[in-house]
Amino acid sequence: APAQEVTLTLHHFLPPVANAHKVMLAPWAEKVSADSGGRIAIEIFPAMSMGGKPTELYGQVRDGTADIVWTLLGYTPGVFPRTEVFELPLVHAGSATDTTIALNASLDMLAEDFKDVHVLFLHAHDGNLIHSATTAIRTFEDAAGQKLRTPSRSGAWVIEAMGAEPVGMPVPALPEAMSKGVVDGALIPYEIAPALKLQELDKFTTELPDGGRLGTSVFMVAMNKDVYEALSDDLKAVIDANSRTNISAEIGAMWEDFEQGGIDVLASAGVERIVVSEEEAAKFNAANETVVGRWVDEVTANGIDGAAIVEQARAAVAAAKAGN
Amino acid sequence: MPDPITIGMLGLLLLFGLLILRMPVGIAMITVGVGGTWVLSLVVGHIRFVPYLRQFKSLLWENVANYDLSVVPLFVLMGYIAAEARLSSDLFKGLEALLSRLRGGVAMAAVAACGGFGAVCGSSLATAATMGKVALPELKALGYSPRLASGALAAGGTLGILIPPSVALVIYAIIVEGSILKMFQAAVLPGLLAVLGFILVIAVLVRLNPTLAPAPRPMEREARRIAIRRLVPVIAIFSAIILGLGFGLFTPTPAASIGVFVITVYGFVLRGVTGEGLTLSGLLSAIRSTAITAGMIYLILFGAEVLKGFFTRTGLPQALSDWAATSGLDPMSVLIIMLVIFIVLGCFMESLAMILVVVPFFWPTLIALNGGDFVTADSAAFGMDNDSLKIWFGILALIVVELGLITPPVGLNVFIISSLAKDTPMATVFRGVLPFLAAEFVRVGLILMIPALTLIVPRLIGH
Amino acid sequence: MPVILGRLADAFAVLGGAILLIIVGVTTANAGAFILDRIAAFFSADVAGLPGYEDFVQLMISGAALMFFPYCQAHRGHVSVDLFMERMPQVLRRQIDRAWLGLTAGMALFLAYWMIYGLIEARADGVLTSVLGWPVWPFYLPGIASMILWALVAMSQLGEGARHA
Ligand code: NA
Ligand code: NA
Repeated sequence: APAQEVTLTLHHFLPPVANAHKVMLAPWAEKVSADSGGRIAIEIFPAMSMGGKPTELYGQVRDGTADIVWTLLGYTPGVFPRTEVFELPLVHAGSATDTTIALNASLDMLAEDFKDVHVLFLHAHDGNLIHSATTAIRTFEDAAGQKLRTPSRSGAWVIEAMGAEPVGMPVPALPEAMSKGVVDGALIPYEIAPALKLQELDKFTTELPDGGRLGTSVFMVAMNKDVYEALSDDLKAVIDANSRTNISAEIGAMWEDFEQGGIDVLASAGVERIVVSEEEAAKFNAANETVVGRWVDEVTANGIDGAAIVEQARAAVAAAKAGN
Repeated sequence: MPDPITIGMLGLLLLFGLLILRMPVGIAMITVGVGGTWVLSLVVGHIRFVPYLRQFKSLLWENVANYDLSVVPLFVLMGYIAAEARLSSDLFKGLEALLSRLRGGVAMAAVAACGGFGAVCGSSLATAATMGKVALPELKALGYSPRLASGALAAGGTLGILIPPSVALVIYAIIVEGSILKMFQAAVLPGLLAVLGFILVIAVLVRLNPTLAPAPRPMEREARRIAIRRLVPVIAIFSAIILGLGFGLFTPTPAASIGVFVITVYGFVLRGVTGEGLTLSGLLSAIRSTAITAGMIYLILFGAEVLKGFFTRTGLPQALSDWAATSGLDPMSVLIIMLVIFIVLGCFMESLAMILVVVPFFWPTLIALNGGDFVTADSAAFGMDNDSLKIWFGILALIVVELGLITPPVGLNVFIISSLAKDTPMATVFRGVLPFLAAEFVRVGLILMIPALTLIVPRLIGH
Repeated sequence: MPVILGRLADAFAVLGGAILLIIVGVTTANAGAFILDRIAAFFSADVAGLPGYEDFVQLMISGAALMFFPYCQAHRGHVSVDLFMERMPQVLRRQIDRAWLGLTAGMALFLAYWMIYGLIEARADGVLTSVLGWPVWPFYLPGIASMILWALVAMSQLGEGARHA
């Protein structure tokens, strides 16, 4: 085999036990290395071990402190104003696969957000739902007055639109806050439940019919621009073959699968899984439509054509769904 | 050219060298972190120095803009305000009133007051200094031997670090990504054990050598009544903080804030009613002391972050834990070796810096020895899952780190006590501390053999 | 140390302390609201806590923490290890102490330099806090000022005798 030519560092914020590391990032790195015939080596640094807070990952990849990072766009609210559209409920319908395919297919529309880094791929998780330690939320009215940990800026709007109260805190602080009653629950996916031991805290989960969810979060794996440009063309081709639309269906499906582990753990702990009726779902969706409107108004005030972006994003998600 | 792991080890040696040359700890950590990464960038192609430097745009600010860490300055402030508001003195006087009928009772009261004050103060040095100021003159006037008096206070001061709230426990919890609250709960029994152990040591010493303490002289009725009356609110406030924290009425930052609020209000009211209590200039002086202590802590924390980035890039911590996992070493022996290393380093290193430099090396090694990231309690080498190991090891490490405060040649608590008791030479204080040190070793042994001593409280409250 | 530097460092420390007291006040109010909410729950009512409380504490503490550095330096509060140096001749101790002061000042300026770029970047990126939606960049200012003051205090100590000398 030809000698190793390039070593790339990959920095991210979760411990090596996390699905994202075990199932997504480590195998991806091995695949790139294998496809390059060993000429690319990728050294993964989990759990912020290269230093800094998760919010700094984007700056680190832009500056080249790390060559590649996996990060959550919501860590730096305001920095990716266009891409945020895919986090909105009623844009993200509840399928990690569809939204992930749509995200990577829409990179041209989102180009302005990512002009400073080379995006390898974007992805979403399967979607937020309400986890509650106190209240069975069966109707839209039941949600009013609940204190819920918000996953993101737009997540806070979703919570407000339900007449509930958003509380911001880092995910690791959630179990303590739930057990102390500082919050009633949280807006997060199923996937994260085992890691936070939510099976010991949740009494109910509430989601919309037909797998419908209340928005999602967008993640990115990005590479430093100069480091990417400096690669020889054949190595670029190896990276490209493992990037964006070439792998988006596979990555999206992974995140859909991650949900099952959480669903099983909660079910075996006797947590009641509530799916609201169509009638109630219509009320949730009416509230969610105001969230989309709020987002459009806000980005439009910043000189971005929000309405057009929402339309294109919805079309991309619909196309992904049709293609599946 | 040396390989990265060798550079990592040289960096560690250089760090100790700079510390011995009295470079401020935080500055030394940043120097080795940045300098070491520069050297590394010359050897390792894919580590590029200028891109590395660019992270300093946000590294410092993000490091201090941390909600979890905000408990640190708040706990520090709480301790200083409690001292300024004379709660420390009321606590000691009240306990003295209760215990002065026993031979050695006033020294016992001083140790118990150290434990109590530890409940509002996050630092051992501050506990030793505060209670030393309050109790030493009294013990001297009553005719206690300087050896017993100073030894009891230097040892009692170490209680501040373990009895929650504790700055060191907060920081340990943050570096191993554990729960601050669980650490606090786990520290309760070992902390009480230490208070009991120290009181027992005093009882045995005065029994063996009655000249160490004067014949008991019960306080006069009226003074006793006043002392006990002023003890009650202090105990109420301190217990409220401990219980509020322990039983989870509040998460740490709100608990610390409410603690500061209640103690400040009580201090001002006390001043209004009795003429003794908190003054505005007292509050300002508490703030200034907090600036010094918290400024020092934040700089060391930032230094540790910079150092971590360097060591991670050398691959040294990973190499150590891989080596431990495959070496076939007996896990318990490794744990004991780690504790001995803490004690040896504690002879000359500052406790917080020690936790921050050493724990990131030891913790992954312990996980590897325990059976790796995914191990369950049944198959784990230590017989407990990683979450419990985190708690148990943290408490053990904290106790042995605190021992460094009273072991020669450098024992910061001993220095403080000997500077407060001007006519007591340092050697006398070190001799006075010896029996208490023996009690501490017994305690470490107990906690090593019976992990339940640390794990039972968080487990009971957790469910 | 020039009197003005000492006063400035003191003012920064007291201001940092005042910020801590603001956190105490806001937190106590927030906890009070939380307790009221618990009580109100018995009567099926809700009392709102302060939204974005964690964001607020995070921003406030970033100012306070760094504002303590110059005062800490002025009082030689950044701990170091006294073991070996005690036994060295005074001339050597003073020279080494000066070297470390120079290094400290340089490091403070290094941090100030990069933080200025951090501020510019946070502003250009439009970084906001997650719940409050406040811009982050103005909160770099106290830190930058503190780093510069820290450097000045350390430099002014170069002229003084070594600590413990
Ligand atoms: Na304490
Ligand atoms: Na020592």
